[in-house]
Amino acid sequence: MQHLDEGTIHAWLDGALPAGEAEDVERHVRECAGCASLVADARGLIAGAARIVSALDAVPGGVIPSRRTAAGHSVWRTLRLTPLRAVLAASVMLVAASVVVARRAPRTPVPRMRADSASPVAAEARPGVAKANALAEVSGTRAAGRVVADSTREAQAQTAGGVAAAKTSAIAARTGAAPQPVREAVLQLESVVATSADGRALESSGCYQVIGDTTETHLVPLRFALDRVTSAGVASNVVRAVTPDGRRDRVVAGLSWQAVAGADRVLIAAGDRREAFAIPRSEVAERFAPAARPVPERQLRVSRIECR
Amino acid sequence: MHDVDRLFREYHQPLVRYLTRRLGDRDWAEEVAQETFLRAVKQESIVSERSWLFAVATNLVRDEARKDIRRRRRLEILREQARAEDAVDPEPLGIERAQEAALARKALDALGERDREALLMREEGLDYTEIAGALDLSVKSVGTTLARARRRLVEAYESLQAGDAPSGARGTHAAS
Repeated sequence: MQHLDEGTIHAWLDGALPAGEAEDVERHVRECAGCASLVADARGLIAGAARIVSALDAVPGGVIPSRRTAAGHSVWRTLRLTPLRAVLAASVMLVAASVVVARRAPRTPVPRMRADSASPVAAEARPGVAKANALAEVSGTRAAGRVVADSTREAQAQTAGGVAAAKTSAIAARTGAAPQPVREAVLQLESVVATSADGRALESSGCYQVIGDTTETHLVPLRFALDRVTSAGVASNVVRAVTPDGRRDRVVAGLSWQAVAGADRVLIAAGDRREAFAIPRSEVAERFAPAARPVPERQLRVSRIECR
Repeated sequence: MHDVDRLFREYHQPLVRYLTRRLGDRDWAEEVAQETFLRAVKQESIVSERSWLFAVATNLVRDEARKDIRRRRRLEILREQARAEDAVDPEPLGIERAQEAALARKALDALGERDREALLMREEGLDYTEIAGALDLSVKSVGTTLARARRRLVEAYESLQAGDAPSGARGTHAAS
């Protein structure tokens, strides 16, 4: 048999060759050190490419748009003022002020001033009143802004508690704080609890189909198997895609699973989604209290399917 | 007329994931997927459903990309400006992941269109026959296409990474 070309090797590793041809390739690889080396190279490329492609799914953590706080609010923007409008407004004010001054230079001061208080001068002063009202509205907006900012912070704490904890930890490290308790956190955005729709136990080697998925990231294939593989003596739980005809397909790069409380559910996580953070004890309640349930419940509902 | 519910349940998720990876824009991906399913509804018969859906989606992306490239560039710029204004300082963990995603996107963009599509379809679980059908290739050439795509992707990523991470100063978050 001729030496193998790269395309054939990839087709073989992808399980795309007809049975007879696959056997020939396998035999040749056993006998040919050069081709065996190419196969090892191809395996690395397949794994590497899968990892890079899965990195495209990453949702950057911590990049949460902030609601503008009071300090960040521009009065100019709130009042919808452009430089041109500002100049025009200033001109009007200047003219109005001139009129006021002119009228308030009376020969008979007191009666004129009283009359002026209800005269066009007061009307011309309305832009100032309007501006004051607008500023009052800005104050209201600021208050609302604070509420929004608070709720945003709370949401951040709930959805990225681990990230916040990491930051706290970094701060503690910089300030040379005493050793802190280690708390394990699950990054909610990238982990998902799969729950059996019929209440039956989810188990290793079982195959399942997603029948409800409320996540944004859709990390888990529509049909998947929870498998346990051993490589170099190390056992790990992997998630494998299952083809529409019920055949176990490739391992989904970066996904792992583990049992959680309740036999009818497992936690499926991507990469090193489960991380431990050293955070100050005092911060634990603050950071994690809003996220009393760090793992969102019932994000993924699955039913058992047959597979081979 | 097909069983639309079944078609949608079965293929919407992988199709959107494929398109999101291809386009780097989830909303755009959803739009294209929706259009794809609309076309599927109008189709009298489809022989290989998955292959057909991925082929139509891929063609829609190509057509739309040609038509809207300038408009989308403009929107991208506006969106980046808005992000720059609105984003709080990213956490270290976010920076790392965002960097990885950005490198992966650049590396993927370095591939030829056909290589990129074949690779993303394979990662979505399409077999060689389906990929060949969707991209109008011979089944025999799919292996070569994928081999080339994977090699180029990994090489591009590694070279970007090397240029992007001088003196090993990456990753300083405090996970223990």
